[in-house]
Amino acid sequence: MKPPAYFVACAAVTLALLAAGIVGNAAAPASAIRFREIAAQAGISFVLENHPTPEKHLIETIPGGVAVLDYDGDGRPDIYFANGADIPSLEKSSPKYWNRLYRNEGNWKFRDVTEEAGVAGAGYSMGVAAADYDNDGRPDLFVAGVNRNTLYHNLGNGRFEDVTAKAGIRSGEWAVAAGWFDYDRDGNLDLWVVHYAKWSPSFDRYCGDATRGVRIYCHPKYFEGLASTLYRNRGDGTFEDVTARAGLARYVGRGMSLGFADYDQDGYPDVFVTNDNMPNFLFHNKGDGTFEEVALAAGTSLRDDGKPISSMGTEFKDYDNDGLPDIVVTALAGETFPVFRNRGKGSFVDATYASRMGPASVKHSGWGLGLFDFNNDGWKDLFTANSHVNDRVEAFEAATYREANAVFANEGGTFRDVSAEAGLAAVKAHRGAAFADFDGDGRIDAVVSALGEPAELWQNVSPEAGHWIVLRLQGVKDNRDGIGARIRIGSQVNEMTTTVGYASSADSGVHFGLGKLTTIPKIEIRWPGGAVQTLTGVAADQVLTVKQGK
Amino acid sequence: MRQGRGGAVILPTLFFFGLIAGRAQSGDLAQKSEQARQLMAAGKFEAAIPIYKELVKALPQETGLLLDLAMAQHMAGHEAESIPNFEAVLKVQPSAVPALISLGAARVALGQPQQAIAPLEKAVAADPANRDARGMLAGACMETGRFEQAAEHYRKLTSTTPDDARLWYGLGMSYQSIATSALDRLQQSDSQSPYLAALVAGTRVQRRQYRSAFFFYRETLKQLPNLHGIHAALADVYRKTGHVDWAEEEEAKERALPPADCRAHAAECQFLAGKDLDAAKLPRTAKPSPEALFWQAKAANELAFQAFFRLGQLPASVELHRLRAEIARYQNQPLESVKEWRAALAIRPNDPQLEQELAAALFMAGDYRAALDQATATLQAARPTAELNFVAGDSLVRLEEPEKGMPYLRAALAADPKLLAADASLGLALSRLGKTSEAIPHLEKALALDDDGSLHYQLARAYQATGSQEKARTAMAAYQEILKKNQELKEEVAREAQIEPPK
Repeated sequence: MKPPAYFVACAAVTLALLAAGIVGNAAAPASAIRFREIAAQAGISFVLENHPTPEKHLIETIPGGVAVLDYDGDGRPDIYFANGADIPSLEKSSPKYWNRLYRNEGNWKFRDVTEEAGVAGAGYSMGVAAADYDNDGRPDLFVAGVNRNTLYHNLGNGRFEDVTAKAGIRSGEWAVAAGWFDYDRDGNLDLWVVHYAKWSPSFDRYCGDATRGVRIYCHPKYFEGLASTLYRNRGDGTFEDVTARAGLARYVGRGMSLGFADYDQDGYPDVFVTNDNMPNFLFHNKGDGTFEEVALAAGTSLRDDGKPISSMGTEFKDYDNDGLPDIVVTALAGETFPVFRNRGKGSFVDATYASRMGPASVKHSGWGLGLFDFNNDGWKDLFTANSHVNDRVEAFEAATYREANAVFANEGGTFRDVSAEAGLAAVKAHRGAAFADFDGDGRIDAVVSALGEPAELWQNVSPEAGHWIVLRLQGVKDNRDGIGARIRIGSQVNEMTTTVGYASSADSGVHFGLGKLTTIPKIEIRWPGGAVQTLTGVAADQVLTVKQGK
Repeated sequence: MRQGRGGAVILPTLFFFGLIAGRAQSGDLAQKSEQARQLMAAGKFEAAIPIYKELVKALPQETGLLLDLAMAQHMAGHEAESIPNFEAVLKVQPSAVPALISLGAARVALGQPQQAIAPLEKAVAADPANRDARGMLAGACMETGRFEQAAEHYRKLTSTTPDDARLWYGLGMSYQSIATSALDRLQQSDSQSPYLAALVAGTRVQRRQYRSAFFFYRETLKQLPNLHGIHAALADVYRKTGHVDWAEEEEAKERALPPADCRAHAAECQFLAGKDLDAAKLPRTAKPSPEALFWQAKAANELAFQAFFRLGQLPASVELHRLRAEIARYQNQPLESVKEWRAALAIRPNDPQLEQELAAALFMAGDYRAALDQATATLQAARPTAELNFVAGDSLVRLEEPEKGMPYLRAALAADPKLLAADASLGLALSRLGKTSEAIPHLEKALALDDDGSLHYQLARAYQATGSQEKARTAMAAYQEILKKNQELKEEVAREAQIEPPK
């Protein structure tokens, strides 16, 4: 289904007097969430080639970012997969290592357009971040990788141009994930690149049990971490590295992923970075071009037991409909998928147990995740792409390597594992996940990568999903994607972001589940620059494009 | 039949049945005596006790009846009540071997191995061939840190009963304890000793921490370049890490070493000559030298290995699986440990001690659901212990079910108020349930365990939540200090962690 025609919302008063607060307020029993896997029939044959070696190079188990972007502007979300490379050369020595772009041709048919789009990539790729960094109305692509990053500019003719060097983007470190945001609110999207650790193919520590010949991936503690890099967008197609100036260089972690949200409602986007077996970072944007790391004081660096965990992917969104962005993290079996609830005033509390996510997730190991309202009942549910990091874990621990994905229904602020009934049975070494409504039916679908196996495309077939709306923002004074805009419908609040889960990206607007609401009394949009725009009496079940100030 | 703590079999077999029948007592007493005898023979010890009490009351001078009463009490598990009766018997008959053995057994059962030793030693002196007495004595010696005596008794027992797995296990453990004790003494007397470095390297090899072992062997050679065995050990490390050519170089160096000076280094010569029993004995000096302790540890290790080797040659036994389980735990292979405890239980089903070990192994393996199931099953079937309650409670906390874990943790602390891990777990459970004020005293009590800062972090958050901001700041500062120290330590260890070619 194609999205509706361009729609400029009017401010007319509506007589649809449904109380604004009902959406998402009531903790009604969640309606069923159902998925079915259709990658093969949809023409998606991507296999994440991580090049597993007997030497167990750590990079092999870390990749798998996925992006969803409408690269050709036809209103249908397309899919881009990051892929591995040969080790030790770190070259895409065969087409099997290419990153892959699949064009959505409608009716659940996708076509591989990698070559014609010129995005096969180079090096050992890890994560993807899509956004329109030059405000030309076309989403561009940043690919993070091992010692090699790539920035693709979308030319608008179905092709991309590698502008990495021209734009001033550096390589040379192991980048896992990245995200676009406008930290200085100048209307140009800036780029945050998350690095994992110092590594080269010559790293040859033997980890495991040599006498039994069981070699495993080394524990993260053996790798010296790295700081993130922040690139400021000059607005002329080039970037400057402002990491040091922004006060970030001294925060060395083993970064895995990131999320953006204005957690303290001061108007400036903040950054949460997950670290592997180290305390996480929460960078508070001071609004003067610098950041301060406040995770320990804010209560997001560690779980309530004070022990660092294998934090992987993250979502920085409001799960309990109190209007404040919370944080959800994926981690390994036994560590749970922590939930940090935002209590306001810059303070978070570990709500993993209180939200029931703890018992529901404690047996899982997760990477990609998405906090979306899959049954459109007004509460964001959680989808996680699951697998352990260590392919030999079963020889050493009571854990499982390959796992099925999971979905946790949000039942009014508490979660329940509904994976089995949702139909997520495929057991693989899942990694990245991205989310979009691929068929325009208002139900959020998922695409998931898996090491050494075909990617999965999960069509959302939830039978009694509620009403919905997707807002596609068009910034004019602010960045054109509207990234960082905060949108309120009733008690639900979402911020526009393309950054999702683990090393992944999803550019398909801002989705709200509306339950039984067919007309939305009021939509409030606070643009990144602070301007507030209000829409009233908006019909549900549409993709609504909202232009700033109109 | 009952099992003594040291693995020896206790067989109190003598009952003084006929005493009364042979005397001119009333028919009633004789009848009661016969009734008690039959109850004892049928294993109905509890029922026999009141009858014997009545008989003792009627005939207080009859030591035999008093012994029968003590036996019945002991066999029924009323150890504390049996002890004064055994002691009363021994006042009259100081060499009564059955009373000596049973008194020792009662003391062992009550967790008083120290007090068990004297009667058991007397029993062994009176009856050197009594395997039960010697076995119990060996076990009591082990428990009280008299490892050399334990080894001596086990060695005698294995010479007469070479097919008993329990004895080889006991012998091996006693030698291993001697080795560990020597290492501890060496560490206390000279923590910078190259001999200590060599022993530490050996333990690292056992744990398969080859880089660390390499570092410590190299440290030894800096000061003791001619110490026999170190080049060979380095060669072993090289081989295990895939450097065969370097291993050969080290082996050549070992072969080229001059022979030891046996006048100056007698223990070394004894060890190299295979005279481990001699080498394992320390010279009788007040403060043994680092060298003497080193060779004692080496020789004892070798003797332990020999004992365990013999154990391994016997048919599968509980002790063999126990040994393998302990090795696996030592080598950080918890799943292997679980497998071995399960195998041990297959041989001796429903043994509460083995079940507790299995629960602990499952817990260490991170299989908290299985650990919980095992611990709760054992708690229902056997006498509750602090450890089992802790495993059940902490597993539930780790499974994110703190409200269910709390009763177990409280029970663990009731049984053992010094079990700080239970305090830590209970503190976390209470915090998770929002009972922060209740959590604080438990977290404070458990702080001594905090080697990674996590308890200080929890405490800081708890203080913060209850409005004690100053205390929160102090606890958070302590947390950060621990992190800093650990980071420094990690960097130091990282410097040790390079395997380089031979020098």
